Amino acid sequence: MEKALQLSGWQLFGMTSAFVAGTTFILLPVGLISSASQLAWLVQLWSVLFGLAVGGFWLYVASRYPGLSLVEISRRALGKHVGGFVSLCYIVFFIQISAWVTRNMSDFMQINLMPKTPLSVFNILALLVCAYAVIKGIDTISLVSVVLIPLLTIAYWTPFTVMLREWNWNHFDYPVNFDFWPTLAETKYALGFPFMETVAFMMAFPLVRTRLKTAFLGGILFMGFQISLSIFFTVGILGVYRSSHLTYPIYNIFREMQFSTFLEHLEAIVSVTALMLVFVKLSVLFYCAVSSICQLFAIENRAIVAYPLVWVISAYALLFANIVDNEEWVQHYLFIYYVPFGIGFPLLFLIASWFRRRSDSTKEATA
Amino acid sequence: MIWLLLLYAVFLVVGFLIMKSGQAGLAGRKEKALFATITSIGCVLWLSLLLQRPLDLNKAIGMAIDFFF
Repeated sequence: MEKALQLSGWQLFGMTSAFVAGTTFILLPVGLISSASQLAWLVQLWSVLFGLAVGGFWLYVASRYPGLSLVEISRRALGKHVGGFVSLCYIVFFIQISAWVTRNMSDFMQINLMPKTPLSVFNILALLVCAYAVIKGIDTISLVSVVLIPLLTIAYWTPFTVMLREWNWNHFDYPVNFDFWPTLAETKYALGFPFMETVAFMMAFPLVRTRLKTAFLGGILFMGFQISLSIFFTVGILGVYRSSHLTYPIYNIFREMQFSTFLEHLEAIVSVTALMLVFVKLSVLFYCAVSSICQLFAIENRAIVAYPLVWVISAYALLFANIVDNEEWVQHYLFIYYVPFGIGFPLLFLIASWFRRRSDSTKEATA
Repeated sequence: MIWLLLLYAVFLVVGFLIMKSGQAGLAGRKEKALFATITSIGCVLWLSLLLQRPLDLNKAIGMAIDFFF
């Protein structure tokens, strides 16, 4: 089990930023641009605001249970059996997101890099690496993210700004009927992915030494804003039509870059950037799933849970038939499925804490 | 499918041997049961994929949401 007070604010900031970036950069732009055309960056901005609001809500719930992780809060708030059941739901939730992230990474690698390699090979190899990271601990994962985030930010934005010479303001004249409520309904999955997934960090809140709120909310804001800017750049460079018809528009921007005659295949930079961020996100989710199981069943050694979970996650990651099946599920069901985990259960914990406080103050008054 | 079952058996045997040797720390009955249970769930999922009858939780969630909303 982790000792208390192990992570600094920077480590949480790095992990949160990498988590929010994760698969978002490669998956989200095409769907948002299809739905909201040249105003897709605005959709992302209000999703960031939503992410900050729910992040603040989880921080408030965690403050009512100081020093406790999500699993411990669940059992304290709802009792051993109901709380245990809710904890089990969260474990399945973390395993599911891990599987979806694994699948997204495998699809990206197969489509763009190694088309003849089976998806299961990418899944298993990635999960074995992440299982090793999980066994090493969250401080290891967080230190990796602290090192990676500045380097990847520079590596990503430097070539991207070179492509500004392809900028065309006419791309923002694309005919669109932008109505707020219908667009919000159509793009509600952007509220859930990735922002409601950051509820996983409630497993790490008790480990953070200082500046928990600043680090967590700052990470969401920092990376959320960069994703919005990337979408804005994508529309300005490629235009709405191309961006909404390419599977990975940002990857295509990098592929079309030409610095000079001897620097080519710059899409390798975005591939490596994307993969590293995905590995950090996958490691965090995998860690949360393993840590939850260990806390629920009072297991000391994470390896006993981590390696067997590779079997479960690698199989689960193959359930979607293809990338289109995956995206359709995300668009139709993701937000509704995330609501109980992101809002429903935390609200229950909050209500339980109010009741307990009232009964404690009633007992004090009678005593 | 034979390779999957062989891999499952080898994984369990190696895991139990490591736990018995003490390299994985103190591993009691609870740890061994959890190790076997999680591995078995994974193996069942893989079997379902190989038999082309996947235990598709994503589809089940979609059907449940469609039913209620």
